[in-house]
Amino acid sequence: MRSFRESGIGSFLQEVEELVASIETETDKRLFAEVDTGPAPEDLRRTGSQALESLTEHSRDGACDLVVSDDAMEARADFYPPAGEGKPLTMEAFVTQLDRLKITSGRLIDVIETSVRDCALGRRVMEGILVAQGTRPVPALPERSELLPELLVRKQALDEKAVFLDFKTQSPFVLVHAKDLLARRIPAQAGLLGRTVLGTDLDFARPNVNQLIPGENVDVGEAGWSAACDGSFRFVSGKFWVDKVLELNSGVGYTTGHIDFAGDVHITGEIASGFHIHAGGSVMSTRVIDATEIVCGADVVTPFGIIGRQGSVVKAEGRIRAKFLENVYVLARGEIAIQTSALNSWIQTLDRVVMGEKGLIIGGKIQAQQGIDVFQVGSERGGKAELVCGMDFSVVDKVEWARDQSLTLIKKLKALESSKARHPDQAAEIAAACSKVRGQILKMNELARSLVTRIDRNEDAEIIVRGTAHAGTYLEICHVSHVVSRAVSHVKFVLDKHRGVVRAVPL
Amino acid sequence: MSKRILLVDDDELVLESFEMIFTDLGYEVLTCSDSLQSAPIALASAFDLILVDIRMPGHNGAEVVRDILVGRPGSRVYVLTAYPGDPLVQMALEAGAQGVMKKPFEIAKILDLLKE
Repeated sequence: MRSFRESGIGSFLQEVEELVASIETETDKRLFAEVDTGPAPEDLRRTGSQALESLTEHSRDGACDLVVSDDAMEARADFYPPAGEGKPLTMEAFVTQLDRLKITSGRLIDVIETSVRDCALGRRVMEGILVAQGTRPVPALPERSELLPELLVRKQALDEKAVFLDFKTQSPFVLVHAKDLLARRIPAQAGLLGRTVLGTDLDFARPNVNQLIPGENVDVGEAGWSAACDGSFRFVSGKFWVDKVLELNSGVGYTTGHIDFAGDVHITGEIASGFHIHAGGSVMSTRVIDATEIVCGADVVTPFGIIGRQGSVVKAEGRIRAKFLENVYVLARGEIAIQTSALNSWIQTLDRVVMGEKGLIIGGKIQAQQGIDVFQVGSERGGKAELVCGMDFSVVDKVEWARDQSLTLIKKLKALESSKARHPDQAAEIAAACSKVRGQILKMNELARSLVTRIDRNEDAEIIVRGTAHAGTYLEICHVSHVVSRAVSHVKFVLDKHRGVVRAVPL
Repeated sequence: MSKRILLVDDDELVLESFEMIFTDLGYEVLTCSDSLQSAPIALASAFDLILVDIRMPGHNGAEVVRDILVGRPGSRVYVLTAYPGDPLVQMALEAGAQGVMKKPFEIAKILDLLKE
């Protein structure tokens, strides 16, 4: 060995370090691979750490180390195998250890047996094995309700296949249908005592449970609480209920998405372009309805107007009430009442169209089966309108739809027939196609004929003009036409059934 | 005996379509694309309904209506138009046309008129 004076401190230290390391390595090898046999100590109460300390001995018995958790709810053990001629740990010895530490409850006998066996046979250390487990007390709870989790998350109609998310389809509202379960009934739960691994009983808790409070439109049943009607589910400060009315205080737009609601919809903000509103009940708006598409099961009401966009439609199963209509297509089963004006709009109703005291109809087409009451139609400068009464437009429209299908098919048929000469080799295929198209045309024509027999008519429908109907106004009652040739005032137009003409009668 | 309809229109496709549809529905259909020839055809035999397009080259619909009703008063003549407010429609009505029909034609109205 060189002295540090010869080689310098640095290299010396390194030399020492290497030496220490080599000794440690060698020690490990010797301790764990070449343990000599020796007398086996009998004291099973020794701890595992003591056993480790004795590894330097030639032989030792199997041993265990037991630890009880601070809350006494579990006990874990480390199992050490015997060395050399030492005896393995036995089940009896382990149980003695448990008894000594007063671990009397929750013993996991199967686990202990397996661990003792595996440790002895496999001659391997097994650490942290759970050998006893206490039981926790079960709190006593009264009967209570629990909301369905899906009601508490914002619904998202995500199309996973879609590349882009259409935010118009996103809604912050949780809409429910009548009889939908809202909250489950959770039965009362009896309290149960717990016990530590040391055998100490643990009392159960009796916590206060904040009961959910069912509110309006909530029915109670055996399974729990359900919606009494279609509507919007609400949950605020422990109270839940169903609103029949959906209040949209910030209008309709990207914050709301499209509105598809089973009940009434109240809108106090603007309706952004491109969003539709489908409501099972009425739609009420406190602003101008800049309509894209409104379809509802009851009335559409606004103290202002309805302005249409290209392709927009307002459809109500009930009535429509508005201050004015502008370039919009509206249709209703019930009465359509417009206070001031209907400009270039297409209006259809199975009931009447009633304009306000000075209500104008300028341009457009009005189809009202039961009649029209208006102050002024058209103007001196033009704005000719068509007023059609008496016929059920809903069936007439279907007949004309069938006609349009026939016209399209006939065009196809003509094209097919003219192609015969150019493609003689495919004559059979063309003939088959022609036959198919022809058959479909016949079906459409038959459909039209059958629909016509179902058109309801009201020959008593009247068109009342309290002000003036200007020249060029087209009137029709039950398919009988009349064109106003010069302005007339204070008249009503009626169908003269005997003469088959529409005539004006002074009011 | 099936009821007879005459359609006067310069649009050949409308004529062909009309003929096919109303023949299917059991009516006897005659068509005429020449406004100048339409009145003689209408007067040559009786029709249950005559439909006349209001805007045609040659004679307009109002003139055709007038010629037909002069030759055969009491004929049931309707004019076809996309715009019922068209002044020619007014002229046709004043000439005796009984009514107005939206183009290309209104099946419901025609069947309604012919059922009586």
